[in-house]
Amino acid sequence: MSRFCRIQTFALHGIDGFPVMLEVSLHAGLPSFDIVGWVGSAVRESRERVRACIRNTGHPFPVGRIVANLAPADLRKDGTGFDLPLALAILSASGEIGAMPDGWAAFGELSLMGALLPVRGALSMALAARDAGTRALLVPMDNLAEIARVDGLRIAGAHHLDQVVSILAGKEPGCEPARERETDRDSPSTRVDAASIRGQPMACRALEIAAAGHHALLMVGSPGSGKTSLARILPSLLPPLEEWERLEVARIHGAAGMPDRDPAAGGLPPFRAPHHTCTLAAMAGGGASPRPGEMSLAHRGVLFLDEMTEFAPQVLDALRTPLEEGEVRLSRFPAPYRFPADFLLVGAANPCHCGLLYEEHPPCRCTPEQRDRHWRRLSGPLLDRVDLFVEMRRLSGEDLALTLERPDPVSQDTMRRIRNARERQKARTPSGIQPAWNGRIRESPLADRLVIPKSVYRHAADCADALHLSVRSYQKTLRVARTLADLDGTDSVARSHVAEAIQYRLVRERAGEMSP
Amino acid sequence: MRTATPSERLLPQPCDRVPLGEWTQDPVLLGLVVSRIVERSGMQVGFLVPEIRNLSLLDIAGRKEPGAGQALVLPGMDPGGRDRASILSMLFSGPGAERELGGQLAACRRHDIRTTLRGDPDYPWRLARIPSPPPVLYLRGLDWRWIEEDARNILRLSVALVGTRTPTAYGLEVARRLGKDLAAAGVTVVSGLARGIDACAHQAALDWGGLTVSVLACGLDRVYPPENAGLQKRILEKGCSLSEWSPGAVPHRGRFPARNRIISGLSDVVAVLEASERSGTMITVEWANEQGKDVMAVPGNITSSRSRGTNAMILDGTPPLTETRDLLDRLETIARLRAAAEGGPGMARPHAVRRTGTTEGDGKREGRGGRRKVPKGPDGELLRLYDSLRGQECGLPRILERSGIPVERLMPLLGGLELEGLVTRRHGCYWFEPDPRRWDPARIEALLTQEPEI
Repeated sequence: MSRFCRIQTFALHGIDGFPVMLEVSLHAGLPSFDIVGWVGSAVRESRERVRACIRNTGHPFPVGRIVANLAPADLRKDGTGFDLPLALAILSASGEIGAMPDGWAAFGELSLMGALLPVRGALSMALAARDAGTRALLVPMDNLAEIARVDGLRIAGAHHLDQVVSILAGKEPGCEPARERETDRDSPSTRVDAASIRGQPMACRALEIAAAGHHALLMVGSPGSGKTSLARILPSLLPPLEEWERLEVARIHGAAGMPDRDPAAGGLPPFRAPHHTCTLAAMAGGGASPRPGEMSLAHRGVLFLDEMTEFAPQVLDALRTPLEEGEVRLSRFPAPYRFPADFLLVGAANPCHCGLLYEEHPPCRCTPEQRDRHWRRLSGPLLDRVDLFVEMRRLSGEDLALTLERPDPVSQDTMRRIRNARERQKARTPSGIQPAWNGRIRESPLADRLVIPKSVYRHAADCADALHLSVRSYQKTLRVARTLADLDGTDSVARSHVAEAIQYRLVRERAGEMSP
Repeated sequence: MRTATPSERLLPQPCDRVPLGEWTQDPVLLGLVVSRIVERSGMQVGFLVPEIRNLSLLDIAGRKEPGAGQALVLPGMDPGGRDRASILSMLFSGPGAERELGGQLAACRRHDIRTTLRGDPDYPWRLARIPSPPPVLYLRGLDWRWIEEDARNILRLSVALVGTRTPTAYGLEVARRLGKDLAAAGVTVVSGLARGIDACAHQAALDWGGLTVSVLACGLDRVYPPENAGLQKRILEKGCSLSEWSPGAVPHRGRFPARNRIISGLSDVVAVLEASERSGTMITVEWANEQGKDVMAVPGNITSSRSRGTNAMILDGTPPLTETRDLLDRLETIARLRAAAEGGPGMARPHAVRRTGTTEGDGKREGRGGRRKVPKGPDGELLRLYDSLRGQECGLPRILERSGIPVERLMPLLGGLELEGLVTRRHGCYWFEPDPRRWDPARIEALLTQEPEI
C-alpha cells in the first residue's frame, strides 16, 4: 500500500518565482529516500536535513521507500526552500499530520533542530504564489518583512516546524507581516561632505545633467578631488522610485540574497559601487543557478565604478550591451536568464597612472606611453556610451576657503529642474512605452528624435568641425544639449546649449599631441 | 616620403653590399666610412677628408698589400697608440662590413639622406667653430645652403628654442609665440623634436612659414619620439633635419647630451623656455656656455616646478627673455658684431617684427581669419569672464569666484569662447589664449582694454 501527499511550493528562476508541485510517495520496501525532478545539489542535501529535522522534532521518520518528485521536471530547481514542504509532505503522507488544506503553499529552509530559516528570493516566490492563486503561504519568519508588500493572500510566518504544524492544525494563526513604516529620505546635504561638492561646480553641473537626462558620466581627476563623494549624491538627485520600480528593485535584491539591504526603502534609487577587482560574474550576474550581478543590483539606480581604469577589460566590456538594452541576458540551457539592468553609469578615473597629471605639485612622472596605456584600458565602444566627461583638479586651500562661502550647488532648485526635465522627456515620448531618456536615444536621425531646430543642428556641426569632434562625440553633444534645454525648461535647443554641451566632451591627450 | 619597414631596416638586401674595392668618391659612402671609423674605434678623425677621398675602401682597410698600413698615415688621425692598420682592417674586414655599409647606403638612398664632412664647404659653419664638432653630419630635408643663407646669399640667424618635455600651458604658449615671432622675423628655429616645448616650437615655426631644423639623437631613417613622425615629415618638407649618427642608430640615452651640443652649436642664441633644475635642457645650456653662445631664459611662475631651472638661470645672471623683442634685439647685436668682424654684408638682420599681444598693433590683420564677432553675453558678464581668465591658467572654481557668474551661465560662455578660439582648456583648467590664426593682436587688445564691441 502506498501513501501519497502533494504540496504546492515555489522555486526561483533568475529573479522570477515559478510554481513547483512537490509530491511524496511512501512505499513498503527497503528504506530509501530519493528526490527526483532535475534538482540541484542544495535540494539533494535537503534529504539529510529533513530526515534529521523530523526525528529531532519528535516525529517518527517513515520506514520504507520514499520518493519525492518536484514537478515540472523539465525546469532546474535549486535552493533550500523545498525543505519545509518536503518535511510537511512526508509527515502528512505518513499520517503524522493532516493533509495541507487546498490552496495553501509553503517554502522555507529547515535546520536540523527544526528551526525555519529564510530563503533567497522570497519576494519573487510570494509574488508567483499570488499570481498562481494561492490562498495562504507559509514562510519563514525572517522572510516576512521582505514580502510584507505582497497583498491578496494570507501570509503566515513561523519560527519552527512545530509552529507550522500547529498553524496547519488551526491551533494558532501564525505571525502576520507588519506593514513597514515609510522611512524619510535623507536629504543630500545631511549625507554628503558639502565642501567637497561646493568646490567642484562643473562636476556638480555634470551630475545634474546626468540625473536629468540619464547620461553616463565619467569623472577624470586627481586623487582627492572629490569624485567619490560627488558620485554618492547622485541617487538623491534622481527622482524617487515609484512603487512598481521599488518592487522590481526589491525582487532583484531579494533574488541576490540581500533583502535586508533593500536600497529602495523610502524610494531612494539604489547605489552600487563594486570594487575594481569585481569579476565578470559578479558584475553581470552568474553562478550555477544564476543570481543578479552588480549591474542588476544597480537597476533603476546608480552604478558607480571607482578607479574605472583598473577594472578588468572584459568586465567593463560587459557593461556595453546592458547600457543599450537595459537588461543582462545570460545564456543558459534550457532558457536564458534575463536580469533587468537599467542603471545610470558613473565612472571615476585618475588622469594617468600616478594620478597627478592635472597637478602642479608634485608633477606627474608618467611617460606618454604609460598615459596611453592607462587610457587604453577603457575600450572605445565603452567610452562611446559615456556622454559626459568632467576633468577635476584638487582644490587648493584657497579654493576651499573661497567656495565655503558659496551656496550649496545642489539645492532644492536643482532638484526641481531635474524633475521638470524628466517630465519634459516623458512628455516627448509617445505614450504607452517607457520614457526614453535623452542619454538613451540612439536612433537616427538623432536631431529629429531630440527635436533640435535645423539652424542649431547646423551650428553644432560647425562646432564639431572646428573642434575636430568624431561623429560619436558630435551625437553626444546633441544629446547633452537636449538635456540642457530640458533643464532650462525650453522646448527648442539653443546655441548656448550646444556651447555648454561641448564642455563635457572627452578631451583626450594622446602622447605627443600638444594641440597648438 | 617612404619609410623603411622593420624588416628592411634589419636585413640589408644582398644587392646592397658595397664591394670593398669601391672608391670613396661617393660623398654618402665617404660619410658612412668616416662614421664607422669614428663610432667603432673612438679615434679622432681630423682633416683626413682630402686624403681619404681618393682611396678605395680596400686602401682604407689596409689590405691592398700587407704592411701597406704604414702608407695610410693620415694627418689628423690619432691612432691612440694602436696599430692603425690592424684597427682599420678590423673595421672593414669581411663580408659583415660590406653588408652593413651596403645596408646603410641603401637606407641613405631610400630616405634621401645626405652627408657632409667637417671641412666640406656645406658643413654648417657655426658647428665647425665649436669644440669637438661632429666629423660627419647626416642631413635630410631642404638643402642646407638654403637653410643657412637666403636668396641674396645673406646668412640667416638661428635660435634654439629648448625646454621641458612636460610643459605647462604657459610654456607651450611661450613656445608658440616665440616660434611664430621668429618665423615672422626670418630667424631659423632649431630644436630637438622632443615632446613638449621642442615639438611645439617646431610646429609654430612651420605654421607661420618659418624655417626650422630638428636635430635628432638617432639615425635619420627613424623618428624619435615616434609620435612626432607627422611633425618630422612637415619639417623635412619645409626645413631640415640633422644628425651625427649614421642610419640605423637607435636613440640611445648617451646620444641625447651629444645631440644637445649640436642644437646649441647650430644657434646664435639658445632660449630656454621652461626647464626643471636638473634636466636635459640644462645640459644644452652647459654646452651653449662652453661654446660661447648667448643664452636667454624665459622667467616663469615661482610656483611652477618647470620654471625653477629658468628662474635659477636668471638669478645666476642669464638675461631674461621677457618678450620677443629682447631676443630680436640680441640677434641684431650679434648680426652687427659679426658683420663688423667679418667685414661684409654677412648676416641678415631680423625683419622688423610687430610685438604681439601687447600695445603696438598697427591695425593690419595677420593670419587668414576675417573679422570675428565676440560671442555675446548678458551685460558685463563677458568682460568679467575675460578679466578672470587673464594671466595664469585657471581652474573653474577660481573662475566662478572671480567672475561671480553662476555655473549654468558660465559653462555656455566658456563653450562659446572656446569655439571662437579665444579660450583654451586643458586638464580641467581654462586660460585666455586667442588663436593667432583667427584673432589679430590689435583686436584682442581692444577686447581686453575696453568694453567689447558687441
